[in-house]
Parts: sequence; structure tokens; C-alpha cells
Amino acid sequence: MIYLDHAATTKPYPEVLEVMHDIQGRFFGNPSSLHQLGIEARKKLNQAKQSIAQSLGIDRKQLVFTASGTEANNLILKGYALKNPHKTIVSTTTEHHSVKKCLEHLQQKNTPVVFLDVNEDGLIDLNHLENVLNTHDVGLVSILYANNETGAIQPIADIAQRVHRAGAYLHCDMVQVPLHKAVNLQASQIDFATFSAHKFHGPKGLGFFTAQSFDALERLIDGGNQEFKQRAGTENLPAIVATAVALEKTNTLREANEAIIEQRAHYFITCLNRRGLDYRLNGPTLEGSRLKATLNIGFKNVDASALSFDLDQQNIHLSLGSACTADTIEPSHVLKQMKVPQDYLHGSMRFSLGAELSEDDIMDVVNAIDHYIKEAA
Amino acid sequence: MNLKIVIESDSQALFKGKLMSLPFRKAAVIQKSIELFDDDDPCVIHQSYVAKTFAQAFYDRLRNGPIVFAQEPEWLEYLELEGLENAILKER
Repeated sequence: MIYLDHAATTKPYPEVLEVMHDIQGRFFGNPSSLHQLGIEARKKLNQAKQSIAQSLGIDRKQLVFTASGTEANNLILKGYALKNPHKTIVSTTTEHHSVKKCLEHLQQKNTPVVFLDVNEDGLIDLNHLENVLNTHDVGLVSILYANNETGAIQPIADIAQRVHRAGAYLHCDMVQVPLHKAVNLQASQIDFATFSAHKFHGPKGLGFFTAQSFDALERLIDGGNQEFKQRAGTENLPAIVATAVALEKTNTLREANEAIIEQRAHYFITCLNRRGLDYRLNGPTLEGSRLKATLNIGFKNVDASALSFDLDQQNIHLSLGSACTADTIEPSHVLKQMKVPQDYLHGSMRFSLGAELSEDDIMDVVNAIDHYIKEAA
Repeated sequence: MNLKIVIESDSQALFKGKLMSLPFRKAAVIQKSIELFDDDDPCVIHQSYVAKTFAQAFYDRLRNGPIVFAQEPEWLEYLELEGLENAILKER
């Protein structure tokens, strides 16, 4: 089996599964209960939170657990809009659906929203951002740090500088980041950030967001006092502790794994070139501002859904990024916004690499693609 | 999957094209989608996946030679074409 869908989800580390089982069985007390079992659970929760916060360069009181990255994005964007109904929110046309659809929903409820266009690499125009900041009453700018479909990394330091100069907050969806880059929120001047544990070999069902301050957010989920009153509901302790374990291990392995992934990405491109395949790498070049692990490649005049099915039959698993509407399959909104040419658009697929891939695996994938395309001709 | 095929009946071509382009019976696609995904309202992406599994099934079967529908009527269930009872599906 060759797994090329790490941007969709990652396999939990064995330690993650072990600790979840252990916590579920031994520390089943409710962290809010004032008895021995509850206190033990609370201690585990605080230790895990401290570990994650420290790794991100923030205080543990700035960290809120949720059930997913999508929920985290919704809590920030809707929480901000509810508290600041007249302030403009700025974002881009290539966000993950959890931001895009959330902002479209807010727009329908009369929140002023501006979506910035991107260039053919998927990057925003800083002058356009500056212009919007100067002409609108902007309160929040929400930018996907690293695009989940193309790996394009936005110029966040430059964005943060401009956003703060305008007196606004910066939110970054950073779901794709921790697996590939160390995160220091203090240094990067990001006011709100969102994450998802299963993207870095942690458990599914656990997301979290960070906030330099909660003052700008309205609470959306009422109930108990959990998560500094920002997100009521009994905490998912097994997943929280497992997430701390996953992040710690990711931090330890990251540098070595990234070196492997970068080499494999270059090897992938080299193999495609050697085969003389007509393709384009959607997004920045391999040397450009991108995650090396996320390669979105469009093959000319190829039906990507048929090719991915063919690869799946050979135990090569990957995703496309297309979405279903009422009765059609739409190409990715990200690629359309990047104006990927039509003859490559429908042949575009995402290869998201992991460090376990060997050169032989890459060669097998390219051979399978080459065989399919030649057979189709 | 990219195999070019023809369906003939009495020397008349009822269909010419790629396996993937075969007109699969909508009801069969939805029924299989429901079975495969355990979802009584399968989305178009899931239906498209099922259509590809049908094409793959035909492809695998064609490795053993043409399909004579009169001898293997179970294949008729997949297709939305009239007059197939005496037809033959084969590689082009």
C-alpha cells in the first residue's frame, strides 16, 4: 500500500493509540469533578495542555480544545463576527471550506467580508491586502497559512505586519503546518491559530485554537466553565493527552522527516520529467514558498478521477480536492481561483507525501501514472 | 478502464467508446452506492466511484473474451441500453 493522502489525515503513532486506551480506562473521571478520579483527570488535562502550549510558544491559558479544526475555525470567525458585527473580515478565495463556507454564511447574515484573490501560485497580493485594510473598517484577517490542496505558504510575517499596523487581528488556519514546520505563535505574531490533531499523527476528534486574548470573541457554546468558558462541554481527555504525545513526537521527528520528504518530492518531479509526462505543478515551485509534502499536479487532458481510481486499484491512495454539488463533480475551488488552465484542471490531483515513502514507492506511482496515461492515449 | 469497446447486435453497433463511457443504469449505480457506503442518499462523487467499479468489473471480465449477453444476462443489469439481449460486448 502506498499512502499519498497525508494532507487528508495521518496514521496515529502507536504511542497515541496506547495512551488513548490507557487514559480511557484508567483516567475516566470527569476533569470537572471534585473527587480523586476527577482531580487525576484534571491533572492529566493540565499537563497535556501545558505541553502543547509550550510547544506552540504560548501560555496554556491561551489554548482551547475543540472537536475539530473546522469547529475551531467556526468558533473564531463566528465568535468574532458576533462580538464585532460591523467590522469587516478579510480572507482569501482559496481557504479551506471550514473558513470559506463559514464566512459565506456570515456574509448572508450581513457581516462585511472581503475575499482577496490569489495569483497563479495561490499567493495573495500584499498591495491588495494593504488597499483593503486602508479602505475598509477591518477587524479580522483570516488567512490559510499553508494551503491544504497545493501546499502554498502565504507570506504570513508580511501579512501580520500590515494587519497589525491597521489595528486588526490575524487568524491563521494552521492545520497543515505542525507536521512540517515548527510553530512559534509568539514569534510569528499570529493572534488566533487553529489546529487539528489527526493531521500530525494524533487522534481524530480533537482540534484546538489559540488566542492571544479572548476579549474579541463571543462565546458560542454555553454550558459549563470548561476551556476558560470559551467552549463548554466535558473535555475529551484521551484525545487531548494523545494529542500532546503526538505533537511531542512530531517535534522530535520533524527535521529528519522533512529532509526525507523534500528529497522524495524532488525525486517525484525528476521521475515525471524523465518519463516526459505533460504535467504542471500547481502552486509555487519546489524551491518556492510551499510545503514540500503537498504536491498538486495536473496532468494534461487526463481525467483525474479515473486515474485516481486506477491507482486505487493498485493500492496507491490519494485525493483530488474536487467537491460534489447537487448533481455534478466540481473541480477544486482553489485550483479554479489560481486559474489553472482547463486542460490541466480536470487532471489535477494531490500527492501528499510522508516520510515513510521510499524512492521505489515513488517510482511505482510514476510508473502507474505513465502506464495509465499511455493506455488512455 | 481506458479500453475501447463496441457493443454489437446483428452487425449494428449499439455503443462505441471507452469502457468508462458506458451508460450505466442509474438505479444500479445508486443501489450499489447504497450498499458500498451504507448511505441511502449517495452523493455524486460516491456514484461516480461506483460507476468506475462497474467499468472495472467489465474490464476484468473482458480479459476472458467478449460478453455474450444472451449467455450472461447478469451483465444487462448494469447497462442503460435498449436491445442488448442478443448483443455482444467486445474490445475494439
